[in-house]
Amino acid sequence: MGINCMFLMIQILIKMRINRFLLSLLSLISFASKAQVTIGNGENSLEISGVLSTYYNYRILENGVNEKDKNRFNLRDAQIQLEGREGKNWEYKLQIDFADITQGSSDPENPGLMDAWIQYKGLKWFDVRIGYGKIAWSRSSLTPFIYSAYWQRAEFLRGSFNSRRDIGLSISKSFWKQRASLDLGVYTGLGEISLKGDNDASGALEYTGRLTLAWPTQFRNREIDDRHVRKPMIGLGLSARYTNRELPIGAFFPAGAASEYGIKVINGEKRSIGIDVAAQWQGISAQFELIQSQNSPQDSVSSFFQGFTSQQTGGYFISGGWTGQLNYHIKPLKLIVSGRYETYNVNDLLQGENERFSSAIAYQINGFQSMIKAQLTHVITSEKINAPDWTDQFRIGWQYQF
Amino acid sequence: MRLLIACLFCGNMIAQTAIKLPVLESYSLSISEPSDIAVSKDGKSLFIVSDDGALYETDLKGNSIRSITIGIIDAEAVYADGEYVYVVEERTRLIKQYSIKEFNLIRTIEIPYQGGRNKSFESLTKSSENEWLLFTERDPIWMFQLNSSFEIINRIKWDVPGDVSAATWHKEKLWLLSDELAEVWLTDVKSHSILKRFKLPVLNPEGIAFLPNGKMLIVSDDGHKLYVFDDPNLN
Repeated sequence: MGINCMFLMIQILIKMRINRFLLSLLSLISFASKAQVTIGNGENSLEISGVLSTYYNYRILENGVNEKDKNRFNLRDAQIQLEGREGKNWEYKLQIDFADITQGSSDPENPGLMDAWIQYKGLKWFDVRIGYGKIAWSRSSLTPFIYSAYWQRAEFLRGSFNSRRDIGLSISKSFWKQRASLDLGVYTGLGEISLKGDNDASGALEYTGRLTLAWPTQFRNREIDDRHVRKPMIGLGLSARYTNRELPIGAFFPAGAASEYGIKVINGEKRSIGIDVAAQWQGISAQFELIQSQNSPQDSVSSFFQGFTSQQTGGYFISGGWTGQLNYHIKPLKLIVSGRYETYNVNDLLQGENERFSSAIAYQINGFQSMIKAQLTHVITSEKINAPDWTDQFRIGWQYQF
Repeated sequence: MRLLIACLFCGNMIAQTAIKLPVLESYSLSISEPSDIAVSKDGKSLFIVSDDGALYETDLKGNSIRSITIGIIDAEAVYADGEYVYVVEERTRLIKQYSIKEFNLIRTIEIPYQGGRNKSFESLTKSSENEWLLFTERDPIWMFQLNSSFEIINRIKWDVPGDVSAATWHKEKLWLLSDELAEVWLTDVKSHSILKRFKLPVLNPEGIAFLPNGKMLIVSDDGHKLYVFDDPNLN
């Protein structure tokens, strides 16, 4: 299947005559990004950096579908990032993506405001962070986009099943020579929509926790072993989150809170768990991740139950999925090749599952700072609802960190 | 087409093959995130700095003899002579000079540098011509030459792959350590080029020093370990 995907990617390249375009583009690139700037006064420091990325998207549509509006260039990132430290104990970060703010996008994978938090590191037992940013949940979500060969994460990890960012308070602590870490958080629970202001009428919060273990040393949130480590390294992550929201009769969630599949925030109890494993050795790296949510709507005749009785369903439905990814960093060629399989289910009470296979190839002009990436996603099967109207999606573009 | 591909893929390749060095001994450190190491002038103790803002004097197996909180975090380089220990803080671009005898702060010098916050000074050593050599880690790798008063007298860009996470002067030669490649480089400081490469079986090596008997010491930041190797000159 992976080889077929690669062949298809090559065929599309030829069809679009992008190979000439790409090689011409590459031949023009002789510089590398090294532009981060830091200002400081010996006590405080502030680093200014950012990311620019643009891709071309091309879709092969299902038979009978004619809307080709997704065949277009897209400015994915126009980010400015300010990271600061005051003295020994205070840190802060503000990261804004102007591309998404301009579009008014609330895409949880690629939001306008990405980080706005302050952190205090002066306590003995844990560090405290307050503000808006990534929730310690899902290795894929926590891995910065620029360190991936892909243009898009696995579908169920993009933020439509569970939020990736929220406003709240978290504490974190690493121990066992940084091989283990624990994060606990409390958030509004509406995810990226929390930025609009008010909570929903339930007034409930969401509680999260994540424990990571690694051997033989700490395992950073990276997908690619560009260092070709000479000892095998492995990292394990266990995540959980819980919320119980009970809307008064006649009340609704803010627009967009439930997201694309309508399950991100539900009127009811939501318990989620996640397990992820990552390993790397000599340029080969692999990731596995599983997410499952038990959703228990308050309304026993909710449409989520698809007409089944509460005796049949136990009063809940399951959403989630798993993904496995294998990568290889070819150092002499400055190339990354990767393949990823994913399967997910929006609602286990509905027949069918979704399966996708993606392959990616990236050429590193200057490591991850300046990189040309191409991704092909092939839809193998789809559930009856929310089925995409395309079978294959190809993206190629350039990411540049300054 | 072949020329284009050659240009694209081979720009930063190094001709020499790295020689693999076996570990002679290793010791677990109780020091959190050790980021550089220096040998005392008499060769009887080590100075180790850590990311959590402390300077340690240890025995030759890395057991702490005494320590001082240096009030800065992200200390990334250390150098010792007969009287003083010098500690470099990457983010604030400060060099702090401590008395070995009293183990207290003597003075603080700021070396302005506006590159990336975490891509700044990680290596400090002194040449046989009594010049300080201060390296930035990467993007780009600059070697600042400073006089004895820590005034910048020259700046040279090293066009080598990877990063420079530590530097030391040994047997009239400059030795550099690359954390990213897990390699030690014997270099020619005048032509700022690599003469020999040595591959280390160490995760995240961040500090390098040589004992008077020629044995090479490497500290691993993530691994919290001190490694001992034979003198690479023997290879």
